[in-house]
Amino acid sequence: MKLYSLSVHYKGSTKANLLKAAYDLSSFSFFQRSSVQEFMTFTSALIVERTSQGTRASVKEQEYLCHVYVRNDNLGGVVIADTEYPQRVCFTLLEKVSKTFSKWTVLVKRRHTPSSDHLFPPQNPREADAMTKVQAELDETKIILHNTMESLLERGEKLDDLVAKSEHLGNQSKAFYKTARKQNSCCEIM
Amino acid sequence: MAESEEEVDVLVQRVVKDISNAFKRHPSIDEIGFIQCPEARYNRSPIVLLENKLGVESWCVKFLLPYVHNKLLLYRQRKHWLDREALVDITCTLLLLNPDFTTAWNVRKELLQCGALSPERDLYLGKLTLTKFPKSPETWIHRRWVLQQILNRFPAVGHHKILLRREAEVEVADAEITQHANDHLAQIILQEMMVCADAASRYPSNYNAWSHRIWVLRHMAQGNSKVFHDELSSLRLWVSMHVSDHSGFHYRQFLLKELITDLNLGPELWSNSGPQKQASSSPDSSYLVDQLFYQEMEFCSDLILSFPGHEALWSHRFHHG
Repeated sequence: MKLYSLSVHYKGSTKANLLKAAYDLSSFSFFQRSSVQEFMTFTSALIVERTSQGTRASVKEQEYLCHVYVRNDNLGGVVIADTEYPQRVCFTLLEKVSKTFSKWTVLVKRRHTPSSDHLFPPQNPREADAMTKVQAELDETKIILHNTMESLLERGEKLDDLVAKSEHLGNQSKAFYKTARKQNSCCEIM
Repeated sequence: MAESEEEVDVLVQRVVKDISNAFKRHPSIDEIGFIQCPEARYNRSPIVLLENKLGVESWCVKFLLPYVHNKLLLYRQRKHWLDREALVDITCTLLLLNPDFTTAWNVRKELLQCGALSPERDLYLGKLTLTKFPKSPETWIHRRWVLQQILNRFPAVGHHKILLRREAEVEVADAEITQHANDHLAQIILQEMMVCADAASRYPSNYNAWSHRIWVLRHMAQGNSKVFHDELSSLRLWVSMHVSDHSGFHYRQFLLKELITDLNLGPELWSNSGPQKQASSSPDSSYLVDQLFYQEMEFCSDLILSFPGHEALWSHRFHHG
């Protein structure tokens, strides 16, 4: 039951701009962490770009679930978790983070530095879920489910091309992606 | 870029030595991994050490693995001689890259038996390979062989653990040795529990890790209900955070069965004044059994309510019933 990343983006007209992110990659193999982080940033930004305003969605990719909420004012939040972490808690979290972020930007304009201690939620979802007021609002909301990342892409668009062009991914990560694609599996070298 | 055989030879020997030196200089290495690196950079060693993690750059693996693999096979076929130190280094390198190469573990068994290698060394190597290959069947199998070697050296431990409790009948000096053995055993059990927990966290429903955990308790903690109780309570958090891990819950079922068997056999096994012929289940033990069941049911129900939709939880509840 793991939460890997939480990121907040601004959904611009052509692309998403990463505003703030927090990661917990302790469960990944040490030497893969920097690539994993880059991929999570890449994936989060892509998801925000392809999600319309005022929408909530969950995108499944291998053993990860990416939950996204893009507000009507173009603020988009993405949580990447494993399949055990409760979906409902993720959306409650995204709601809370969006509200907190708005408050932050007001503070920043007033030259106060907000603490980012509270950005990352507790790993135990039962602690994170004590936000029942927000929960009541969410019960009525519709959440779109996507079975793969590919379903977010437009016709003719390939994930491989997007990876190659991405500014979020360093050369090592791109090389890693190519190798993994060839062997059709992640993290195997031989 | 074609490498001549000589160049490969030199390169590989350097890498094997680099790995060996890394372990000598940094005895607290606790994880291994591969670093995606399609080409060699400058003239640097492909062995990287960072924060107690040992990394092998991927470009060298295609030279390294076949070479050391062949070297070991030639040694086994008596076509090529390797001294003990070379054998230790080569098998270590091989197993870090491919821990399911049985021959390498078998060579290490021979080295262990002739005293050229300590059992603790192999437990450490196994622990490292499991950080990259948490399921590796050969690693777990070899680990049990090593633990059995350690157990065989214990004074009257294992099958005769009950005798250790009769401290009144033993000389003071012997009692000290017994205490020392008990402490050592407890330490080994603790270490094995940690290795299993780590491997179980790295791969979902890691059957091999959990089976090993059961084996350890069966062979090293028979009749020691405290260990079983401790395991049951310390695992609550772990299974709560891995609610779809069938093997984790199966392990809890094993713990409960053992505890209940112990309780039903009566307290004769625990008594310091010698075995007594008691009725097979007293009202006290029956109450304790009920308590164990009730607590587990409550725990399971709580998880089901918090995290709906996990088959492992329902399956556990069903077996419990």
